[in-house]
Amino acid sequence: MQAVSPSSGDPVLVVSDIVKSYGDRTAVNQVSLTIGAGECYGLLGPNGAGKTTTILIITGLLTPDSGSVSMAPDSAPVTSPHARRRIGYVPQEIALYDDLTARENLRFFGRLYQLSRGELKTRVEEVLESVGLTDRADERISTYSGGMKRRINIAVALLHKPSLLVLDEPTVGVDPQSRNLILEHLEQLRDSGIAILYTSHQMDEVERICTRIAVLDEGRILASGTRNELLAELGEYLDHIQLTCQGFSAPVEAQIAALDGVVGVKYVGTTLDVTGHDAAKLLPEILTVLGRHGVDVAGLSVERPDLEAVFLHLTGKALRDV
Amino acid sequence: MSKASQTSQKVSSKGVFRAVLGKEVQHGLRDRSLLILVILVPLLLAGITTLAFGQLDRGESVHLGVVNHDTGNLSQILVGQVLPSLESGNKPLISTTTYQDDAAAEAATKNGTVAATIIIPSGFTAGVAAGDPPALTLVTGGDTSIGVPVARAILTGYTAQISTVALAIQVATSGPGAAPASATVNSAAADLRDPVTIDDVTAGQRSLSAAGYFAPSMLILALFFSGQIAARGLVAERERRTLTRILLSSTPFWKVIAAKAAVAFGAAIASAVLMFGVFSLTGTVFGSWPVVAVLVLFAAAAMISISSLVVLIARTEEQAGSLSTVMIFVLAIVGGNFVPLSQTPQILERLALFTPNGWTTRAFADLSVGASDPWGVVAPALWVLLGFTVAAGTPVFVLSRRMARSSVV
Repeated sequence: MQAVSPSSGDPVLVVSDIVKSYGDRTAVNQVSLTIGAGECYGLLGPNGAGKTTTILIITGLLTPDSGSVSMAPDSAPVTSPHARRRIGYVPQEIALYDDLTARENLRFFGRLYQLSRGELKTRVEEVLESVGLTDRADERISTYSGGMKRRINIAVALLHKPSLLVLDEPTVGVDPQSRNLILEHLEQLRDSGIAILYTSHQMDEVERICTRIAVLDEGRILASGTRNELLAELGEYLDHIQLTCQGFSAPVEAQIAALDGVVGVKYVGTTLDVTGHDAAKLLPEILTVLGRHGVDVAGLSVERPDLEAVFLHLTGKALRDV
Repeated sequence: MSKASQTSQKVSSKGVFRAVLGKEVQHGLRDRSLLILVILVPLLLAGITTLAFGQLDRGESVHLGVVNHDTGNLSQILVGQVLPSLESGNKPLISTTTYQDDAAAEAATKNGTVAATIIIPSGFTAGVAAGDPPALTLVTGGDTSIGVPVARAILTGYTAQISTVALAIQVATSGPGAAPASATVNSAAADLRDPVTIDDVTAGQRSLSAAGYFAPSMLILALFFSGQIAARGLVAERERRTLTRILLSSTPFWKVIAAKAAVAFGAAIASAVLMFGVFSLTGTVFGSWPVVAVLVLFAAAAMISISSLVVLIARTEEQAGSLSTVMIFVLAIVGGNFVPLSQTPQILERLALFTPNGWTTRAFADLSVGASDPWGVVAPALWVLLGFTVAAGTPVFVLSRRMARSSVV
């Protein structure tokens, strides 16, 4: 059995040791995870790692060879209609009817979830508002941009107020502005208490919105935890801050070296290199010290170990090369 | 338990079926596929059939030219009795124009004023009496219609009887105490019958018109076109992943299939009603309407099952369209929808029995001639159509379930 981490809120989804094989190939191999309310759980892995198969099992659309998936609080198996209706699924494809308007699409899917007439009307307006497309609601999907389609694709999954939202690479092919809107919306949903399972091979997205992350490769979870817990897999990982400045002196170096979290300070020519833990906390303190001593800063850069490095460390291969 | 789940009990599960049904209709109207299949295709097929075969059924007369250089009795029999008899009646077979010289007649034939011209040479009657009749001439132009065969049939029948007359003259005028040839000619001429008799081809009490045959054939094509809607819709849902989304909502798969089948069935029936309306307005007779209605229902079910099977074998919507088009035309040809089976080789007649088209066409033909026991006449076809529905419908159900599973991976 692989890593099962405690979740931040009340458990919403419990996945235990699921296995799925196609012939000799094991697509999902003893995957276990728990997702709590208000938590965004990221599944990070390359294409073919088993993300989509895992998602299909979790949504009850695919039956595992072994293992179980249940929805809290009643531990209902996810294959039951009762549990399945608590899940909102956003497929990687734009699963909408191009010839219908956004509102018509929403109304259709809402009716499938058997929302009452009044509730359907209210929810359609609410989700349109939440994705910022109320003013375009009566236009056909075929006239929408890729980003707008993606937003409606997500809106459909939210109609029935799911307790778990499952998203399979929801920003594929989306322009940066729409991508940012989508991620902001997901952050709001997460903060409102919805449990989110998010798959992507975009590390920056996963790092931005996920509270916990699992690294998946060849059907197995290699490691899981918060970002910092995963970075700890690298051993002693340090952030690297580099500043270009004039007028640096030994006392200044001593004061910076004394800051909590700083591991090393090196000054060569006009370049100051600081290594330490948590650059986000250290950088303002360093700038304060420099400012106090009248040191002019002409430029700065920060290098932090990222999940790419973790993936490389765990699998021996780069995430984007697979 | 989410709020949505709590409220789910408020809505009947029939609502899900209605939702899928409503979406199918809305989507079909929006992308115009339903309008095309239910209105445009039936109107086109009915219109073309009416134009093509309604003309034939009205029995428009053949216009022939006649040039008579003979002054004897036998030629008068042709131009004064035989031809006028064919020009009379409610549905005259021919109309004639008499020309004084060959050149004018040939020009009229060449420019299509007449379909053909019969030229009776000078001394024709005398030649018959002498036992050496000169040849009758049939001038034909480029006309490929029924005019030339009709003219040829008239002349063939006429010359056959003239040969009989010639033989009678030879017998009567030979030997001792023989009658004069002129008297024998007059006597034989009086006995001549019209060389061509026109009877409607009848089966039972009414004639089977060309439109009566081809109208159901076109109806069968329309049913096939409509029948594809369900399966093609399913293939499209799989491709755009909306099927996955529908199934995730815990909508039973059979409801999706049932709603799509209902739309296909409705489209098939609507197109049939429209076609029946057009054909009925143009006077085509189909027979007992209750029996026709049941026959259409059974035929529609069989065609939907068969076209669905073909579509579900395809991997993509595009492939499904190509496969089903090929299937429709092969079955239409083999089933006698383009050429009447009576005019095809015997092997095709037998092959037609392996198609729903063949059985449906045959049942419609039997009904349209006013069978005294219409239910009995169509009963074999109904059983066979039911067999086709079950035989194709069973794998359709299995394949569609497999598609539902494959749509998620």
